[in-house]
Amino acid sequence: MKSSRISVVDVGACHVAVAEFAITGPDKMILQEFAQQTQGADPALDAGWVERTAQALSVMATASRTSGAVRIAIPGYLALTKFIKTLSVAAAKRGKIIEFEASQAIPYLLAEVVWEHAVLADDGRDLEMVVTAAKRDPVERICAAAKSAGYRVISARASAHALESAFRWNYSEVTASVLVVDIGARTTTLMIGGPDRFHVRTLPIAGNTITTAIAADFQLDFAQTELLKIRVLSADQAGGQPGRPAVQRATGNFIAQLQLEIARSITNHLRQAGATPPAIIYLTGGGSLMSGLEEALAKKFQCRVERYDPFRKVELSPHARAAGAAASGHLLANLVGLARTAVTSPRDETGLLPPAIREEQAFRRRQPLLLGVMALLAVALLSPVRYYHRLAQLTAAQAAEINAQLQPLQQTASRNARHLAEIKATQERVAVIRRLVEAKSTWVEFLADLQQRLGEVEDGWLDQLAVVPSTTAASGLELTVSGRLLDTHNPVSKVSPESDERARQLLVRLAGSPFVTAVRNERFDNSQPGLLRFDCTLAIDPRHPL
Amino acid sequence: MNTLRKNPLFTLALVTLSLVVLAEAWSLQASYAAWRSARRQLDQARREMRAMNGLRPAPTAENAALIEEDLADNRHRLAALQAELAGDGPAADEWEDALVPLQRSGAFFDIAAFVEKLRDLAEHNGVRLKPDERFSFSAYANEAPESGRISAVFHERMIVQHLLETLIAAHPHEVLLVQRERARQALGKPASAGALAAPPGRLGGAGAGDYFEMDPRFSLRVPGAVETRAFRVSFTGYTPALREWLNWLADSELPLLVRMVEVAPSEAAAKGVVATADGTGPLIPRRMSRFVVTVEWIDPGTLAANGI
Repeated sequence: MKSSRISVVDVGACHVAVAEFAITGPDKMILQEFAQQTQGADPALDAGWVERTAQALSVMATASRTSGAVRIAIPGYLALTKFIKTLSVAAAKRGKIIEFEASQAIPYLLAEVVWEHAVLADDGRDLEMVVTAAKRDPVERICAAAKSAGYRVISARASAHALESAFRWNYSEVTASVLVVDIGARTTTLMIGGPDRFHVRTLPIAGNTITTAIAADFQLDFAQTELLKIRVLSADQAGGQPGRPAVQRATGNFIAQLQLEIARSITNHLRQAGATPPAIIYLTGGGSLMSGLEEALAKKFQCRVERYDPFRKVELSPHARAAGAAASGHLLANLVGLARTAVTSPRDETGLLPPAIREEQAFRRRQPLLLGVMALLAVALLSPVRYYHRLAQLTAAQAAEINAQLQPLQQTASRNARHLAEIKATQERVAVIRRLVEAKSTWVEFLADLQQRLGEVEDGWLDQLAVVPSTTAASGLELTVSGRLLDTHNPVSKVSPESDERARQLLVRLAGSPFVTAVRNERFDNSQPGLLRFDCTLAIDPRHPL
Repeated sequence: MNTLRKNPLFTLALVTLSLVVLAEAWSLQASYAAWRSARRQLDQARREMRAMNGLRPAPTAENAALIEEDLADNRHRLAALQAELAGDGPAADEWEDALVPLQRSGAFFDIAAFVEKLRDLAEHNGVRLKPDERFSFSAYANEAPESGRISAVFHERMIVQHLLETLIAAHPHEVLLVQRERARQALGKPASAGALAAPPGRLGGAGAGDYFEMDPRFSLRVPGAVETRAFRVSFTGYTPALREWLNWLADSELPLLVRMVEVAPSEAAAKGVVATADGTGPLIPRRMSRFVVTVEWIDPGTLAANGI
C-alpha cells in the first residue's frame, strides 16, 4: 500500500464529490471524509462549468479537510472508450502499434487529447485492448480547477474505469455475467461482462434527457424543469403533483430508450465467444433513483436487478456520516473505484493526466532524489573538508614547531658563519701583516746566516752580492755571490787538498741554508797562491722570500 | 526555470543545498590549498632542519663560544701584528705627531732644515757626503713642493731622515746616493705627474737623480691592498756598518722593510789588511764595500683602508 490515506475527487456533469479513504486492509476501507455539491446540469451553462467546479472544490476542500494529492475521475461525457483488436506484435514494437491504433480509433489528433490504454488479452495472435481518451483542454482545466482549490492531481481516470475498479473490488465474489448501469446527468455508462473482462459503453442518454423532454413539453427553462423532475420523481406515486404525467411520460421514454440500448449492448456482448447474458443488473448514479426503473429492467431482461451497494466493504466514519455520505451512496461508486485503483495499481497513477502535469509529477517525484543527491553531496563533502582543514592545521602546527626550533639554530649558525668569515678574513690579514713583519728582519737573518756559514768554513769572505731576477728559481729571485777563501796553511799553493775541501764545504753549507734551494754556476779561480776566488748563484727558496 | 518557479520550496531547498555544496567545495579547495601550503612550509622547514643538522661546526652554544673565542684570539693576534708593524716609540710618536706644513713656504723650509740637519749630523759623525748632497730632495733646493704634494713630500722627507740618521749612526764611510721611488699608479705603472714624486717637468732635468724605478718583483706592494714607498741608499763602508744599520732597521719603530741588499767592492782606499797565518805580513788588503740597500715603507693608512 502506498499510502494509508487516499483522497479522491469525482467530477460529474452536475455534481462534485470529494472523499478521503483510509485503507485498513485488502477488503476494507474507511470513508474518513466526504463532501459533495450539486451544480446545475443545464448544458447551456457549460461555459462556466470548470469555474463552478473549482469553486465547489474550494468549498469542499475546506469542508472535508482534504488537500494535497488527489485522484480524479473524469466525467463520462468528456471521455471516449474504445475497444480495439489488432495483431499481436513483439513488445518492442507494441508501443508504436498501439499509438497507431489509438490514432485510428480516436476522432481527434493525438496531440489534442490525453489517452491511455489497457491490454485486455494477448493470445500471441490477436491483441485486445481498450483505449480511453479525453480532450486535453477540459482535462487540463479540471486539473487547474483542482489545483486552485488546493489539490494536486496525481491521477485522472475516466469514470467508467473507476466504476469497473469499484465493482471488481466491491463485488469480488460475483462470478456471473453482470451489467452495471451508471446513470448520470449527461451520460449513462454500461459495463457488461465479468468477472475477467468488462465491456464499457457510454450512452449519451441520462438524467438530462428526461429534463430536456419535460422542458420541451412545458416550455420551461432547464433549471425549473430539473426542479420539477426531481420533485415529481422523489414524491409519493399517489401524490397529485402537477406535471406528473409529463414527467412519467418522459421517464417512460427514457427507460424504453435505455432498454433498447442495453439490449443492443447485450446482443453485442453475446457475440463474443463464451459470453453469457447478464444474470444481475446493478444500478447506480443519480439517474438510477427514478421509480420504476428496476422493475422495468427486470421485466425486460428477465434477470435480477439490484441497487449497487458501495458500502459493502466501506465503513463510514462519523465525520463522513455527518457529511451525508450514507445518503449519497449513488455517488460513491466512482470514489471507491478511484481509491481502489490507487491501492491495486499504485505505480500506474497518471492515467489521463495531461503531459504538462505528468512532467510536473515526474519532476516532483525526482525532487526527493535531486534533493537527496545534493544533501548526500553536502554530507559527503563535510568529511574531506574537515579532513583537509584538520590536516592543514596539523601540518601548519608541525611546520611552526620546527620553525620555532630552527630560529635559534639559524641565529647561531648565522652568527657562527659571520664569525668564521671574520676569522678567515682576520687570518688573511694576519698572514699579510705577518709576512710584512717578518720581512723586516729577513735580510738581517739571511746575511747573518750567510756570515755564519762562511765562518764555519773559516777564512772566507764575500766581495760581491747582487740581486738578479730569475726565470728559473721558484721565488723569481737569485743572488750572485762572489768571494774569496784564504788558504792560510798553504799560502803558496794554488791547489791544496785543504782548499778543495773547504770550497766543497762552502758550497754544501750554502746549499744548506734555509733561504737557498740551489747553488748553481759555481766558478773558482785559483790563479793566486793561497787564495781561492769563487763565484756562484744562489736560488732563493720561495718559502723564505727575501 | 518555469518548473523551478512552480516549486518554490523545492527551489529554495535546492538553492540552499547548492549554496551549501558550493560553500563546502570552496572550503574544501581552501583547506586543500592551505594544506598544500603548510606542507610546503613543513618540507622547507624539514629541509632547513636537515641542513642545520648537517652544518659543521654544528650551531650549538658550545661551538659558538669556541668560535667567538677563536675570533677574539685572531683579533688580538692581528692587533698585535698591526702594532708591531706600525712600531712604537719616539720615532713612531714623532711620525704620529708630525705637523704637515700648510703652506708651500713651510714645506720648503722644512726640507731645507732637514738637509742642513743631516749635513751637520754627517759632519759630526765623520761621514762623507757630496758637496751638493740634498738626500733625494734636490728638486726642492730652490722651490717648494706643489701645494697638492706637500703632505706626500713631507712624509717622504721624514722617512729619509729616519733612514739616514740611523745610517749615520752606524758610521759608514760615505753616503753616495739617496733616491726615492718614482711614484707609481695603483696598477703598478709609473705614475703620472703630480702623484707622490717629482713632477714630469723635472724627470729629466733638475732632481732627476732623486728617483729610481723599483722592480715590482722585489716589492711588497700589492695593488689595492698594500701600498708602499721605496727608498734606495747607497753608501760605502765596512760590513759592521751595514750590519748595524740593518739591525737598526729591523728594530725600527717605523714600518720600514729591507727589500734588497747589494754589495760590491768599493774603490775607496783600504783601511786595513788581512794578515797571513804565520803573521809574516799582509796577504789581502782590507777594502771597503759599496752597499746599495733598498728599503720599502709600508703605508699603514692603506692597510687599514683595505681592511688589512
